[in-house]
Amino acid sequence: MIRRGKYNALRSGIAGFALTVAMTTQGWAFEEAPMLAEKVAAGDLPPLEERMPSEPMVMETLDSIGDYGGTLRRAILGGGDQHNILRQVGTELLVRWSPDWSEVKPNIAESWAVSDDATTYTFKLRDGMRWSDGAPFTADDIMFWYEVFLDEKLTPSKHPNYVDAGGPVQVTKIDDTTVEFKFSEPNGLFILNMAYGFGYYPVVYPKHYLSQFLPQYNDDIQALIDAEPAASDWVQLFNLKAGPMHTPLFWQNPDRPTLHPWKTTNAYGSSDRVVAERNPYFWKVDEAGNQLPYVDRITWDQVEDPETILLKAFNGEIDYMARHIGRPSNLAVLTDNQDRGKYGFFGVGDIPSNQSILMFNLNNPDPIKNKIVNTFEFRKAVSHAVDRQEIIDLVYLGAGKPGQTAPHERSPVYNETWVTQHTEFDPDMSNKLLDDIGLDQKDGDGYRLGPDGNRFTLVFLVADVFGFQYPDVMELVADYAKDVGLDFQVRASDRSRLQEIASAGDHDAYIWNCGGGLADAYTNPDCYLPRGQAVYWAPKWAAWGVDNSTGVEPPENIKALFEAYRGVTTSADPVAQEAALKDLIEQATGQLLTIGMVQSDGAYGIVRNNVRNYVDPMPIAGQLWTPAPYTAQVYFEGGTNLP
Amino acid sequence: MTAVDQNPVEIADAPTAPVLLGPWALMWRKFKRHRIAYASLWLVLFIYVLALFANFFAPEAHDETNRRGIFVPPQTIQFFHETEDGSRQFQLHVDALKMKVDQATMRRSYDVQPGKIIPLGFFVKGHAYELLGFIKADRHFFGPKDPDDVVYFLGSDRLGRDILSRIIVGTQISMSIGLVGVAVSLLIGVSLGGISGYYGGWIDNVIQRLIEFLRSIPTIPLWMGLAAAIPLGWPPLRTYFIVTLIVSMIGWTSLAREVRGKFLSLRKEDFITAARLDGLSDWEVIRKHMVPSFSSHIIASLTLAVPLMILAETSLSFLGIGLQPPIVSWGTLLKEAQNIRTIIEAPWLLIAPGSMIVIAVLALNFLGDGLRDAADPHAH
Repeated sequence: MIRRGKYNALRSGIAGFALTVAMTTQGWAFEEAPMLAEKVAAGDLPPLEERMPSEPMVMETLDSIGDYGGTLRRAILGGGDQHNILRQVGTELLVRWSPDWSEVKPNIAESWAVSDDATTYTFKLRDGMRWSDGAPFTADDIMFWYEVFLDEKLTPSKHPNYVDAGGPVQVTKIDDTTVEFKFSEPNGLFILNMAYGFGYYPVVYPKHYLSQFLPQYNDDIQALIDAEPAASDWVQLFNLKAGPMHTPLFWQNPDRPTLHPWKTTNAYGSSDRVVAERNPYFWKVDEAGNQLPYVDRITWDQVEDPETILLKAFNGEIDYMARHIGRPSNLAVLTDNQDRGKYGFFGVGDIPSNQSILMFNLNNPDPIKNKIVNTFEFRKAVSHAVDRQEIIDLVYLGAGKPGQTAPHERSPVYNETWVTQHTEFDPDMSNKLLDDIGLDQKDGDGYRLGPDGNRFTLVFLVADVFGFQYPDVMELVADYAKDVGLDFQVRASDRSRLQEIASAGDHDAYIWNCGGGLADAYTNPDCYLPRGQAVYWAPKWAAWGVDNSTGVEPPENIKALFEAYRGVTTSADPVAQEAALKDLIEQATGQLLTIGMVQSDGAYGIVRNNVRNYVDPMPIAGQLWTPAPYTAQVYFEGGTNLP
Repeated sequence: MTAVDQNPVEIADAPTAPVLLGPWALMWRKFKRHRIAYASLWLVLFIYVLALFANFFAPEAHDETNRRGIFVPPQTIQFFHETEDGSRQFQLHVDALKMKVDQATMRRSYDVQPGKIIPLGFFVKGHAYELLGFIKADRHFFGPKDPDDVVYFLGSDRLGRDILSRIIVGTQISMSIGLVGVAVSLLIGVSLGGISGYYGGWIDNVIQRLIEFLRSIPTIPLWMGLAAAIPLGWPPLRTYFIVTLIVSMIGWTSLAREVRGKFLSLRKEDFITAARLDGLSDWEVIRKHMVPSFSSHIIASLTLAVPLMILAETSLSFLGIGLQPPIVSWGTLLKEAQNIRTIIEAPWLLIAPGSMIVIAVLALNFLGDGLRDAADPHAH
């Protein structure tokens, strides 16, 4: 594992802040964009040296030093598409992943240190760094977030990144540019988690702006509440103004200062175009000392559906985008229109542990169904009944490999057996397994009867999401199941309804994908053990895992998984972590808790021919909110869009 | 037919009495003179026969996928075939195709395999099915002679399924369940509207307030409530049927208003007064004199409701209560075709079911038009 080296360096202790930016910037002549230089000349902006931290972050150049100018055009769907903006501009965190997702590097924090027992993490901030409105960004802003985080009214449910068995993490301000996070027990994954998306919390709470919405800072808060029609008390007002970044609320308040390279100037959903203008106080420079970002602004045209985005791409109205359009089924039409739209393709390393997974609800409220789906031989029988290669050929046009839910070939913890076991298409074996577990009686239509003498039926929920064509997959699976006498009913639904039903635990089964295919297996093993709120194959065990007084106590084989994962989370030693993770996945895949069908080799995005400095292939995952933080150095050759 | 009953008994050698035709016979005679309507009647009957014996007419199983037949364009039937000795011979056939995959774009294209044909015939053996739901059969009206061959007369979809067979099977749902909703709306609308307009007074008041109440119910929350109330275990078709019924339970209001207005103006007409003075009961007056006098309006609104119903089949899918795959209907076929990839790569997916709907709707419209002209006593 590449990360190991970095870790050993970190473990050398708090004393030296081992990681500092290699290049000092003293004596450099910084350059800025012409549009900002004009403002400085007109006296609307302070000079560049006063806007940037004394040690700006120097971004490693991906291809070349860029040209200023141009508008990067994208498209956005209405409603819940805020990740479209977030992943393009918002992922500026204390620390970041390297462009190839192999190691954690400094970002907002100029360095960090971790104690030997992995309980205490100390971040060193950049001196003189500023929010997008020019106010200084200091440790006080992080402490302000911590105040909000501890407030039960404002943050009733706390993000698991910042909580452990002893309760919320303890955050302490050491000085204006130093903050310490202290856990009650070893938390070996904290730095990784802080480099993933949800590490954003501590750095999106500008105290000078948000404190006006709290009664302890503002005596006259009632005036603000009265002025806001959507809020009736200060809690509502604060939640409205300080919404979490992964929700639309954040992007509907353009007044809130950020640390992002571009700052949205209007609210998402308020018009048919969201515009983000360059942040004059941005704190990154390229290797030649030019202040980033290169591109003047980003626009998102709001459209009705992904098809419209495709049309815009054909017409050359999309400069850089993978979201919504990079699916195998669109590849042929996008290739046809390449010359017309003047774009090319880049790779997107969207590699989950599996792209389409049959997930039985292992906590089924129906006792008969529950007993059967919890039988290993039943799951194995279903796994052998499915012709994965046919699904790949038909639905995914031949892209992908048959496989179970397991780390991908490119993962540091890849093991071929985990992927390939029980994947052969063998209906005879399947029939035999089903006969042997007591499902040997059939009704007149050839379907197997349950122990109660009624036809054994499982209802699968399916939503057409991610462009993975789940309804098509499920139609094929139901057919294979029928061939071995199993009645799989398919119920199509939209995404939110499916999630609502499944999170209540009332479902029999559903089809979804699951992270954990690459390095994110450490922090997102949601299909290797029942954990998290986004995967619904054992919701009651998952509840037990969070709090032993709730949910249902799992059997020993599942408790062993929780125990194995504790080995990952509580250790600070990467070798021990890797061994514990491998042990967890070995146990989990051996039980075939979920039935994976297709491991994909990634997707693609389109990029206009004169766009440079984009990450290719771009890793992306449920937690890895790319292409930010690497978008600031994307530029148009010649400083303007292709006509 | 009433016309026969009223004919005088024919007596040999007696002078031919003038033939007296009843109202239905008159209607039929007038209807037959309306050529387009008459042809449409046969077309509609044909569509229903198609629906009734769908599996017999479908050359392939509608849900049979084929990984070597993704997006096959429509294949044309050819009549003559050159045999090996060079002579031309009559043999219905299509050319055998070979799939090519472009690795860069994953696009499938098809080349004709020279010299290889797929012979076609009538009443050929094919996939097994149950005729009318209970007669086991494997004969098909028209298709490849070898059951292992696959032909796509109207092309295939993204999973290699035969579009023609899917359209034929889709006829069953689109021309039945959807129409039930229309019929229920009509029945409730005409009865309540009729009662309201004929009697007036407090009954009118109650029914009109009921209509206003129903119209004021916001629909989206209603659908959401329905979606939550319907058990997951229900098969999709039953769900759709129930939802259609419920939709029509509140969809009758506008028709009822129209009927009421018509009744209000009709009940003062002389012929109604005459009928009443003749001792007919209220029900008879409504049924025999009032409803027929505006049947033209009813028929028109009925035929206009049919295409709306087909297009609305999928509209509630986002709540899980509309029609959705794997159910095959014209609505779901059209829905599947509504994307750019289809329009560019496989336009037949849109054209084939689209034309089928146009044909069916036009036929129903002309039929309704002809019926109206024939039924309207003022149309002389």
